[in-house]
Amino acid sequence: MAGCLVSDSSEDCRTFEAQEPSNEGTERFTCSICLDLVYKPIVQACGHIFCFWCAFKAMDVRKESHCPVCRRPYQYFPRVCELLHFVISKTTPVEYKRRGDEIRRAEEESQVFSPHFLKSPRQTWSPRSYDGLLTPREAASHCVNTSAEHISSADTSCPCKENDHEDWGDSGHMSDKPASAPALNSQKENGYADKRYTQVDSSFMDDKLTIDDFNCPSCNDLLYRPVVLNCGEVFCKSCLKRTTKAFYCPSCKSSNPGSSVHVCLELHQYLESAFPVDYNRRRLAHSAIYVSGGDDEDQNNESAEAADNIISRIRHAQVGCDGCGMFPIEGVRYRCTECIEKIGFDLCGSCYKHGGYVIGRFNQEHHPQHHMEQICPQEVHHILNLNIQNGFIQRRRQQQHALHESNDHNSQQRNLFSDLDDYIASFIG
Amino acid sequence: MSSSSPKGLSRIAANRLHKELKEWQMNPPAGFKHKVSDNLQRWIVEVNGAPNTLYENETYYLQVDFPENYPMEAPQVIFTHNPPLHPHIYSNGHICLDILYDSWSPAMTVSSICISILSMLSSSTEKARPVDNDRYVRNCRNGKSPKETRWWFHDDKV
Repeated sequence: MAGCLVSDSSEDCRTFEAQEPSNEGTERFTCSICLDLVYKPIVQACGHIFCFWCAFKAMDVRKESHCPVCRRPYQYFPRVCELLHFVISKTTPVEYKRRGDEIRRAEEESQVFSPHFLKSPRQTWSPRSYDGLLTPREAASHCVNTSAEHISSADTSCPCKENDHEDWGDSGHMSDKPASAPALNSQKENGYADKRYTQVDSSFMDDKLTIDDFNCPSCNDLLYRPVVLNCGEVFCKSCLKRTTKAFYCPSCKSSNPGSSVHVCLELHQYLESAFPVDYNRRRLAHSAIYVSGGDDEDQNNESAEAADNIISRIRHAQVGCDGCGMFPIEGVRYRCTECIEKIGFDLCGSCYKHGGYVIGRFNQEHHPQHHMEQICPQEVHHILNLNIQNGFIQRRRQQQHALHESNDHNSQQRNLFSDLDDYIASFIG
Repeated sequence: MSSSSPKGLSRIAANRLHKELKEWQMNPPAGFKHKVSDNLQRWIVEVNGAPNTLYENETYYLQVDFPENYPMEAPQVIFTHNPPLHPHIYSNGHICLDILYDSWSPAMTVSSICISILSMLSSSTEKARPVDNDRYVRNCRNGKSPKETRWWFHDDKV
């Protein structure tokens, strides 16, 4: 994902109409950036909740960002919390639909799209099946027909049920064929835009959320003091192993940067009021086990690991990783040459190495077989150009030799430069 | 309503300002009055010095200009007419306050800015201009925005 739209907020506001929000009691899930109902909630590691676009636009495109509410530093753009998304869409359906329409119009103008979800968490198609990490909940129904026309009537029968799930032909599971989607006059030819909004939000209203929707995947009981990981999955705080550095999500195995994750108070309060009896039971059970621990708010023991070479310190301004959400990407970066979406598809070095299937954060239709190329950041390009002009590298090498022979005084600095030289040399070929 | 949103604001900004204005009308911060106008992008706010402080019974005017991509970017906040005599307020109305520049966060509102400014006024122990007032004001002669200044926030007492 590239942050090309960060400065792209020049939407035409002549068409702005102040709409009176219907009073659905939306006080609980308010985004403190737009002061409106949260749409596609992102939960930061500090537990604060924002809209997908608000969180993204509030991030610093050049360096580490800070939580708008508590100023906690972070560098990873979390994924949308699907559970909260469905909670909000069911508790305040009318308002949520209004927000959805509003955001949809803006997205169509900018041609960059937020991830879309299907029906309910239990029916979400999950790419994890590709890795053989299918959870029972997901196994029940992992493909969903997203056709706008059929969503209300025939969407229970999945057209790709019999298919081998490793068959990635076409748009396959992600969306229905564009032919049946309503015409979105622009870009109709390639059917590209059509796939984006074939989902109908009103389908959320079909079934009510039950207590089973709020099971922690780890303890299989009602979530107690829920925390939302970088991947958008929700766990009880006590179910996560306390470690001193980054850990992996027990469910989707994606890495969660940073050690401390704080309770999402909005969700906590919701659960408290929606299921008072069960939540209290969980509280009692919890206090019986963790007598001493109490409210174990973490000490901030994230040690900033010193970057060991100059390459890992190069930042790709305005470009984020679609895998782990690092924004801006630090170090080596790979860009997909085949994704046609405006925002592109990028991975950081470690997500690229890790391999496997990664869903884009902006609804890109990236395919694991797409070709990806290593990108050298602009700063390096700049140095590279200068270097070629001046025969700088040659001289640099000679200087290094000279230094090497003389003494070890500036060894650290020399290492940095030799890293850079190697990196540059890899582009020259 | 639609005519009142100026062209310079993005839809997100206009939406948010409508919400802020509505909230302000229902629940204005103590000591402040928003002067009603059609211009959503420039708010004029009347400030009344808090009782039992150096600025008691004095009235000042704040001018708040919103950038296109508000709230991701901070608004420009200056005093108009006669700025109060304060060690962090220059005679051209510019205010040396970190939340207006480096420490801005999109979760802040006009209301929270106003409260910070009033608190800054209230905690002052002397009515004086900043020591570098003349030099600074001379540098800003061509109508430079305070957002272009490289501020140095060194005093956390006032």
